Amino acid sequence: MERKNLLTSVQMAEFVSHGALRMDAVVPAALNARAIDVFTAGIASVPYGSTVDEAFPVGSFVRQLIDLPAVAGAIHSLVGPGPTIDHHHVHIREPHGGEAQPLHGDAIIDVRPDAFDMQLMYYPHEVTADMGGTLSVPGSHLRRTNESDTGRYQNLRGQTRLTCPAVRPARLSCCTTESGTAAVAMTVTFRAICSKSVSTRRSVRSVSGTPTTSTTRL
Amino acid sequence: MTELLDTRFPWYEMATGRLEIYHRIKLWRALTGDETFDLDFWVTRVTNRPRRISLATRSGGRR
Repeated sequence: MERKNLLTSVQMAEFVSHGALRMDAVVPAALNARAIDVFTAGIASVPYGSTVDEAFPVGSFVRQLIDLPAVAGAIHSLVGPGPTIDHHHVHIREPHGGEAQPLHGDAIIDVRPDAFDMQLMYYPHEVTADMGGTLSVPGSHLRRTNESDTGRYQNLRGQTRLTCPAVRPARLSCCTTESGTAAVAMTVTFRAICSKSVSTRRSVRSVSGTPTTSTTRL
Repeated sequence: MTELLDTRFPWYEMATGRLEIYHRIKLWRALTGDETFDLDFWVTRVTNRPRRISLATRSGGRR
């Protein structure tokens, strides 16, 4: 992993405080152009705990997406090398599709504390406010809620809707409370298992560019 | 960096928002491996073992 592709310590701090990190224009137009056809054809589901190689073979669309230097660097910075896949899903919202998904912490039916999950959200097209925009509540990622416990709440102060021009961002989040998804988006959740006997190596860049590598035990 | 990690959000209640900061400190420690990092001593005060209690623990609960 090249140091220049790792997250800076400021980006890491942004992730830790806000629970998400937005990365604009990191996906080439050629890849975005293929996305809708790939999503329409469907992406096979994989068992929980699959390796990246098992879930997304080299050459597949998703593998090309997560191997992009900026995306791969961010994933490595947050969950270290060799994460497993918890789940992935393509979300499609039709025009006038009716009721929106309630607020929820995504896929946190598994509340065991010996793992750290990070979710990649990829939007292959422009998202406007009229299209819905994924609603999220910054800073809610460390609140121990279970699934849709928060579904009854609406319009929390400070909530945001993700809108983006046609520059196609990817967004990394860490169980931030959120709801809905605009038009077409794909989520992939990566998991690092961190027990007392298993250490996970993560690398970040300091602001000055000096690499820092740490071995973490949780 | 400290200022960024100490960011408060409008939906935080006055006191329980501290829990979010506490958990952020723990996450930052896990991500960086720096077990000494703290903000306003939130984690330090929770993990602090006063000398009097430590002595009592060592002597089987008797002082």
